[in-house]
Amino acid sequence: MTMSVTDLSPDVRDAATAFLLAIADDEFVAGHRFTDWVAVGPTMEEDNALASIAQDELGHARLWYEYVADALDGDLDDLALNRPASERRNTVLVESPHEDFAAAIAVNVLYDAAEVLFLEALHDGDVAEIAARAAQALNEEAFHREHADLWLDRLTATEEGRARLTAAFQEAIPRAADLFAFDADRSEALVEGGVLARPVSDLAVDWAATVRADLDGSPLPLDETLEGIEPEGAPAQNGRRGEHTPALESLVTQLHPDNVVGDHPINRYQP
Amino acid sequence: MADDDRLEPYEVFVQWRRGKPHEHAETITASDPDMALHLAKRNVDVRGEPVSIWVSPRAAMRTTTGDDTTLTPSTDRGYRSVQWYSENDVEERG
Repeated sequence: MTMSVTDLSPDVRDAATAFLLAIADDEFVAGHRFTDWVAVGPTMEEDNALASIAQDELGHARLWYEYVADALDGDLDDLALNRPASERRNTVLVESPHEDFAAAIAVNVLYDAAEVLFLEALHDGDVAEIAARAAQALNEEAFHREHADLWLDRLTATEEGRARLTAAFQEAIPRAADLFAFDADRSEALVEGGVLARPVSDLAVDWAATVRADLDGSPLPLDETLEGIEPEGAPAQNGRRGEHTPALESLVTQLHPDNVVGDHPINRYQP
Repeated sequence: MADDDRLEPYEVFVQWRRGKPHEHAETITASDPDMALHLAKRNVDVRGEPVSIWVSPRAAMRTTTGDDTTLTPSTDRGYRSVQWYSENDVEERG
């Protein structure tokens, strides 16, 4: 059964707006962190690939911010650029700067696996406008997953790569604990209302299985880290509730340098 | 992967339209063929919407040198050309 956003009850519509704003924030912050690689990637070719992934994620962010801007009668630029860290609902997984190339690959593995699951559940949902946007974003995810898989194989081929990847995953996996930690009642409303084809809790189980499948076969000593991957109880820090690390604060500050003049949208920011 | 774990040059050939030949587009530096193809996907002008991409390690290619005399015949082979058939003759007979 296909329906339109206007067919949704006000509660479900609000839940969808909140959920998609969180997904947009994920994409925006993840994309922004990948842009940090521009001009400093390990090779020129990889630099372009990372920049392209960044551009894709920022494009996906735009898709969802546009939807939210419509729903809230808000402004696209203000949503993306001019919200303080405390108002953002992205997972803390994507907040940290990529200190190392292995950190970029760890985020690539963990985050894109989750993104695909979110997008598929939205795409298989009943709301035409939302499913169409998800289809657009899903198109580009195949390349992101391929990028993660290929680099995982190659970085685990050397001792240095294994050491760096192990450290990166040990740091990143605990931060991924809030990926699916959305408000339970609202998540249920999204499934009942037809926005999501599957419950968020199912997506969490699938995500853990995907990450295990990616990493179990690798020679990385991550057994202990992976034990904590199935979320039990509330995460220590939940970006879905606005609990963020200082890294997000600094990202928002970076977005607002004080030397941009004129009517650029960032000049509307009032921290 | 190369024996010494170094990156290698790969030549990239792109087909821009169905039915057209693959054209040499650029050189990619990569560790192995799969990575070369992956990187090529986002290192050609993707706004041009390529139909298909081939990569080949440069080491697998054989090329002629600039002054290769075996490429051009030294004797006159003009008799093979159709230039000796006169259009005027055809018209006169017709």
